[in-house]
Amino acid sequence: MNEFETIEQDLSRLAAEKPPSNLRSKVLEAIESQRDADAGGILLAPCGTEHARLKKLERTATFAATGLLALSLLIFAIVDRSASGLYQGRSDYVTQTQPLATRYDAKPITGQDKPADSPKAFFRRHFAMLQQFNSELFCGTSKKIPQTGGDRQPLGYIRSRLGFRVLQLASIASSRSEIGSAA
Amino acid sequence: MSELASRLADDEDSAWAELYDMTADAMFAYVTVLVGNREAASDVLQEAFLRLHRSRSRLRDVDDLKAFVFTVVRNETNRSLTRNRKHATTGEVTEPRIETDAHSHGDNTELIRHALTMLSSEEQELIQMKVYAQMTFTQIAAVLDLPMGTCTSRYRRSLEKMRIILQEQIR
Repeated sequence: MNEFETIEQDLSRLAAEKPPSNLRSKVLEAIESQRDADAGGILLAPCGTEHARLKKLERTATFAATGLLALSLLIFAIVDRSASGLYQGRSDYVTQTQPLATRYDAKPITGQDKPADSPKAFFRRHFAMLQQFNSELFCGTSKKIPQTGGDRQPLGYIRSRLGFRVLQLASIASSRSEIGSAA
Repeated sequence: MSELASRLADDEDSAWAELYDMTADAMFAYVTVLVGNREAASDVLQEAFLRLHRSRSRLRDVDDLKAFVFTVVRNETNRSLTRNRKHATTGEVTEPRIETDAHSHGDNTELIRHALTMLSSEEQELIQMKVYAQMTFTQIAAVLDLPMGTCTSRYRRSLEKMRIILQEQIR
């Protein structure tokens, strides 16, 4: 046991013997300063209370925001899973459909794969057809109306010459109801 | 001691002076050994007392005032050591561990210092608490949250280990 005591004594020599003489006054002065600061804090208690209330509010808002975010993510995950079930795993269903629709809209009016029920295409196609008829009908009448002495009316000439065109016009007239519905 | 604790909780000037006189020497020795220089140890001790003053309302419920003071000092010492390590990693120059007044006691002190470093950190801490902080085994057991018998036997084993190391060094 004496050996242990010797070791303990040797160990105690490793440490400084006494703290600096001014440390006591420094510590007590620091405590006094802190006491004064605390007294100042008591005078500002209402501000401190308000500050504490705001801090609490801020903390609550922070937690609430986090909670709402987590809830949103949860709802999104549920909806996404439900949608996957609805499309039977084909999650690209919507994303494939949309570009196709856009492509159809961007097609020129002469495209054969254009949907037949597109109102704009319907009108353009029939308008072009009417323009063509018009040019065929009246190019001859305006420039080459036969001058037979006035015994033949221009309209009779047109009817006899282009009688088959009238049938086509009639077909357009028959689709008038279709135009009306499309418009 | 409990009477002093209640006076401290009431923030009496004389109580703080009394607490300082009662604990400063041992705590200063403990901190100096760990942080390695007297100036740093003074700062640590001052900050520890300020912390004690800030949490003085808790002192009323303290059973062992010295053990509580030591816990605060120990925590503050660890904070200081962590700060120094961070400064060392960021390239700032830190003061080396100063060998207080050990040189005046001859080569045996160096051997003791070396033997102490050969122990595990738990054994070193136990010896530092017992020898430098001058705490009883009851207080050490309370701080380390260990049975008192464990602290006693571990302390004796540590000293025995040191004795063997010293013998090997002397040969």
